[in-house]
Amino acid sequence: MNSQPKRFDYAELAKPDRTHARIYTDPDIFHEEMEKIFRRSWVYVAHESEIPNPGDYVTTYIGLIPVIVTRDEAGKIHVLVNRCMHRGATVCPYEKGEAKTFTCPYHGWEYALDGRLNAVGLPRGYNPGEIDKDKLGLREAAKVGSYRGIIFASLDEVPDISLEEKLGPAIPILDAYMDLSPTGEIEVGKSGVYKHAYRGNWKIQVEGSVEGYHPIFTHHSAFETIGRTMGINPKSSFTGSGKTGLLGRDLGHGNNILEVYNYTDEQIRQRYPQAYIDLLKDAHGEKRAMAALRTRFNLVIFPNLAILEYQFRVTRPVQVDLSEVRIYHTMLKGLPEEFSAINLRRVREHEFFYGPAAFGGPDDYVAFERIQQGLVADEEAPWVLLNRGYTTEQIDAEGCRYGDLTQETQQRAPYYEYRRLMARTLEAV
Amino acid sequence: MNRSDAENFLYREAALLDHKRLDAWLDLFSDDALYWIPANQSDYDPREHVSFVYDNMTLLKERIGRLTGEYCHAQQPPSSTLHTISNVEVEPIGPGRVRVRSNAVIYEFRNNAQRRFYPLQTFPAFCTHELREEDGHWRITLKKVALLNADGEIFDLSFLL
Repeated sequence: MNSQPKRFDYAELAKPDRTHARIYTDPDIFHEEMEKIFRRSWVYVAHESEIPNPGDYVTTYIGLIPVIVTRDEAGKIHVLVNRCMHRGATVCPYEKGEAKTFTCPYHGWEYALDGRLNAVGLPRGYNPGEIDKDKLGLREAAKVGSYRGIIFASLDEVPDISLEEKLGPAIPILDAYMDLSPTGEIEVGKSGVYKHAYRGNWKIQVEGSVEGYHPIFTHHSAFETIGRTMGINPKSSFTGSGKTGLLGRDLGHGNNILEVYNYTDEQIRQRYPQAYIDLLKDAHGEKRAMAALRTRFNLVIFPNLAILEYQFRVTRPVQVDLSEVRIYHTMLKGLPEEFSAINLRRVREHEFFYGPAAFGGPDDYVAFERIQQGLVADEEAPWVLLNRGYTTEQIDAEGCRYGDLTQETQQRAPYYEYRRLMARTLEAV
Repeated sequence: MNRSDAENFLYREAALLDHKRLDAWLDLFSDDALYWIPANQSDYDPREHVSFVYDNMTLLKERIGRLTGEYCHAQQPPSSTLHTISNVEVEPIGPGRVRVRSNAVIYEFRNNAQRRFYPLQTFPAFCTHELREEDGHWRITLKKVALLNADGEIFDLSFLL
């Protein structure tokens, strides 16, 4: 992107109850999103369980920018731009691994785990004053923070809110996710990663991660199999009557949640052995244990992370109409051997529904691609409607908007933050 | 079972799949069979790691019902496949039991007129079949398809390998 992007009026293009097709199809808007949302606000990069030891690293992207998430010798986490300061080559070609240094293949420039430039190739060829090693370390994210191992970074400028403000009412939900482990720890991706791609805009996945309206249509075939083989009827949660008791909530700063199930004590006892329930109560106390056992949800941490039942789902924008999705399976750490069936169920249930060969995932991704195909008709039909339940939306004690889970509160939520971030001028940030 | 017998068995299996004779294909499997497509690596423990597919016969029948049913949106239109099989090796693993290793190249195509540019996908794979003789017939007790791109980005794998 060489030229200054066109100015768009995002309050007009992303209204509270509808979004314009253009924000899913216009390459200039896409590049402005990469600048204002992905480079200059909190973005998920990795989970600490992926880099447990000094020297461990994973490579990923912040928007279009390749980065390396490292743990240095002292155990500190760094988010480094994967770009040699000499001629621009990436210095790490692997998805994950362990290293003492990163060395550029072109001229042998070598960087430490914290990004410092250790050495350059053939140093005697440089005259005094031609190179300042202190200023030529790998560029590092301006801000890095983590909550319960979930690492977020902001690449360019310090965001205008703290990570605590950013997560806000999502924090107890993240706690409930981790508290299914007696030690409160999970492992992300060690038990598998599904690597999807689809030909569609990244925001379609963000909206789709918390979609409570589509399951009985898109996942009819999967639900039939669940009914026959597991003896439960998932359709009952998605009737759309407006009275299911399950909610979609706007958690602020673009984050939002779809409650998938809210188990009763009786259902908890059916789903989990009593010894495991007791284990969690002993480990965390009654209140935290019950919060973990009771809820199953889809949570979006805007812009690129969704935490669903057994997964961290990371959306990476590639082009305005091409996105990559990585679904990192999660396992509970610290479970005594006699509870291995709990983790085994996480494997089998996850693999049944998600992934490119599973009973649910492929139907979602074909829907996402068909949305992108249809949205080019923006002269004929400019609007994507997100107004279901808009006029009956309510506000809870925490100040969060909520509605029945099919009523699109959670799809409307990201666009409050979207408008806020996109309205900023680049100079003012 | 010698190599020639094994080749005939694998060719017949491929033909049944490619010509969508799925009832006859299912008849090749024993009741206790497993149909497995590992994810990320070919040798991960399926109890510790998710797979693309890890079906017992109940789930495999459900899968076929879904793929051929009215509500599998990912299979509209349905895939056509072509299997090419080579490098066949046979190893006895017990009385009336053999392990057959082969390489397969599976081509997949969906002739989607609306999309126009749906790519022909190619899936090279290391295959393992474990077979057991039952009443004079060889039946598959394990079919494992280890994709060459098991750790790669995959748009869609909603068809039978």
